[in-house]
Amino acid sequence: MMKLFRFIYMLSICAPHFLGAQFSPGALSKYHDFLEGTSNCTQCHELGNKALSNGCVDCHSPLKTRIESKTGFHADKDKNCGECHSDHNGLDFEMVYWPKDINDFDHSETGYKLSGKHLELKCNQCHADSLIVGDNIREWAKKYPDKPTLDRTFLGLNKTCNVCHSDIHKKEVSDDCESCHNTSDWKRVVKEFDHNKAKYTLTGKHIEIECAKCHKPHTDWTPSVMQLTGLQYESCIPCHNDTHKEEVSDDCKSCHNTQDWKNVRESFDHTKAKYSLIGSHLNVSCEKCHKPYVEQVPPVLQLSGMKFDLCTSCHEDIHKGTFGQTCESCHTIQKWKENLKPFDHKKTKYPLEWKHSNILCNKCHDVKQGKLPEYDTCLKCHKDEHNGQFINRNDGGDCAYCHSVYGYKPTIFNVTKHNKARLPLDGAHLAVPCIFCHKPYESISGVTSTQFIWDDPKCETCHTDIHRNQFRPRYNNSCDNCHGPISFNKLVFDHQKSEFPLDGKHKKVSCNKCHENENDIAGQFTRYIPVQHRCQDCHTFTGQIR
Amino acid sequence: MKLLHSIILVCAAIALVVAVWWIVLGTDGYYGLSLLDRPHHDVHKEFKPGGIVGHGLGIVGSAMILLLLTYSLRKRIKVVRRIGKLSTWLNYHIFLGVAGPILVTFHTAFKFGGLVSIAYWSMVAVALSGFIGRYIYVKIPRRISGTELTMDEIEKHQNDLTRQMIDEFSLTAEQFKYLETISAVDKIKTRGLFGIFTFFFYDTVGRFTLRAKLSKLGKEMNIDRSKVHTFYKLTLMRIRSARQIAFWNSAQKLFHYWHVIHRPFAYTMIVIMVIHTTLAITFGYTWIW
Repeated sequence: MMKLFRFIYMLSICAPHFLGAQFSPGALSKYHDFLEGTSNCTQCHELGNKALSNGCVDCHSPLKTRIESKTGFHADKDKNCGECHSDHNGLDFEMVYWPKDINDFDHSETGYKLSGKHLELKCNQCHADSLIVGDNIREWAKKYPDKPTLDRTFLGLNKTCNVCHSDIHKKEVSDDCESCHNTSDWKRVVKEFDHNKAKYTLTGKHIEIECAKCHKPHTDWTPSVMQLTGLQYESCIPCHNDTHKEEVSDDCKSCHNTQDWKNVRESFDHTKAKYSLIGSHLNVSCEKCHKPYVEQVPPVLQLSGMKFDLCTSCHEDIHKGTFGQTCESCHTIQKWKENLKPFDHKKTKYPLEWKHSNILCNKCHDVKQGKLPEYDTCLKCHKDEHNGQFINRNDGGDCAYCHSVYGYKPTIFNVTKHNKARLPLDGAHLAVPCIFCHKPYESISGVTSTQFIWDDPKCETCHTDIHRNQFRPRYNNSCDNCHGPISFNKLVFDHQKSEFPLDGKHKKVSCNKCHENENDIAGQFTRYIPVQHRCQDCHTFTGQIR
Repeated sequence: MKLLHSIILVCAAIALVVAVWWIVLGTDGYYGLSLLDRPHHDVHKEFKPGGIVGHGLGIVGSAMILLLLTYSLRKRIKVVRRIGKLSTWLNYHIFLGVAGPILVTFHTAFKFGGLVSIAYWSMVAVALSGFIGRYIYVKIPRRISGTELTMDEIEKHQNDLTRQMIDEFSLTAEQFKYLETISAVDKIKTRGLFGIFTFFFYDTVGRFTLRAKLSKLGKEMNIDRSKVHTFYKLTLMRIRSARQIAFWNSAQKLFHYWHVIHRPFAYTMIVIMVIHTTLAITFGYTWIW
């Protein structure tokens, strides 16, 4: 029995050795299995230091280089390697652990942030043996030929695009791809490119146009790739058509700018042209003078061979040649219609005097008529305020008989001239203001004007018959039988010539003894005709006056 | 004094249960994971064998195991032989022999491999053999001081019981024969070293039927109700004494062999533990220092 126990005991002591048990706390992963064995402990472990301070990176020398240069994922990982990559956990233990899905790894931690299309890639599309460029990785991997080092490593790439992407520009440009491309859309060359760094700086509309507008593809390249260098940019012609067909020099920039091709005003210095623009000409659009060639499509302005010696080369002569070609004698270049130069009308056939010298030209000179005004009669310019009343006068109604250029009013028609009229003024008529007789009237045509001409002027034309037509039957209302021009009240009536001549005491009787006042609808008047002139009509039989 | 040690042991046992409870609940299923998955668990850093907690458990557990060796010193070195009762020392020895391996087991994180696994399994063997030894130990009649009774002293004790039973209950020869039968002393005696398993069977499983059999005997003998308890007590003591006499020779032999298992595994465990500890310290695993 004792022998049995001793055998079991010795077997239990020795069996683990036969089974390969060692001092190791556990089997190493398959990537480190060549380090199994008690003699290999110190290849990783440093005696007296459990931190494996140099044990890992001494072997993983490419990683050590990156850690020391503070680059890559491990740059800021101030940790013991074993904290993340523990070993002795069994042959199948994966020492690189992805807490989440490997595709959720925050790649920015490596110092290279993935963006755009890169986010859609699988890891091994970039981290592949074929794309490793670091020689130190390949040299290192040769030490472990039976390990899948290059298929598993994330080292060995660099950030330059051409590691993964082929250089379709064939070194025509630098390898700084990101100066033009971004990761969102490789084929769409974008804004990121600072064209200021190029030999030709983009300004104005050039900034907005697609790159391909200028950078045409190389004709002999497959695939088609735009030409990025060697472009002729000293002149605009290689990109832009010379629509002027060499009419002007190829110094396009002397007229055009990149802000707006069609807007040459800001750019072109017209003082360099044969005809300098000044005054209002500065505000005129180019097309006003530089008319487009009608035969060209799109229309292009004529820039040379312009005639500018005469204003009428551009301006229409609205005076129809009446003033000749010396426009500047009246007009200024500052304002065509205004600020006309002082015109000496005395040089004309119709010198302007007094009131005429102060009126605006267009009062007489109608632009629309396009001809000089006729000045033979005043009525060519002036309206006949008298509505043709004097037209039948011997002088044809010459205005100058009554009016002068000193002023329409006052009239130069005076008493002398009035006395040559049908009703000479004398007596009290001399003191009567014109307006008392010459009052506004409305003609048959409905025009109101002051009346100067009467067909048959009579006293009652102006005066009211206060006698209620008592004298019409006998004197046909001829006032001058009784009244003279001196005064209405100073009668020239001779009673002796009446039906009842006065004599005797009748001469001394006051008029109103026989001519009594009466009243009618219009008021009071004196009765002259008829008056009963029998004796008994006034006297009683006793001789008393009734 | 005995009460004080009891209190200390109970408190220590409670502390052990609480510690195990905290470890099991606080690790969120860590120990249930496969070895490949454990390194990714949140508590791995602390509870792995080299972690601050795991390493601490190993150190404390190992310290307990080293401390329980003082029991051997107590038994073997004359100078300290008079310090405390041997049974008290054994109680501490047993507690430390239970607690130490439990803590060491958590230190291993249930990962058994390499040379140190020999130490672990040796520890397990020592602990399990300790349970068996303890069982055998208590089945060997002893004085209060813990020293074993001689066979003569045991037989004298049994004769005293026999006489007392005859005096009080007038047991007949047949009834004594019946007691011999239900105590299964013949089976224990005739089966040599394997008699321990027979003894163990009747001492554990047979205990439930033994009471019924004695109750039946009591009723047949019309034992007065006031003396039933004394009857049961005397008969049980008589059966236990008879079994001990029958088991005594086997127990002596077993205890001899037990030492062959218990001690060498203990030595093996200690030697490898020292190697393991030395290697750990050599590689810088100095815990908090």
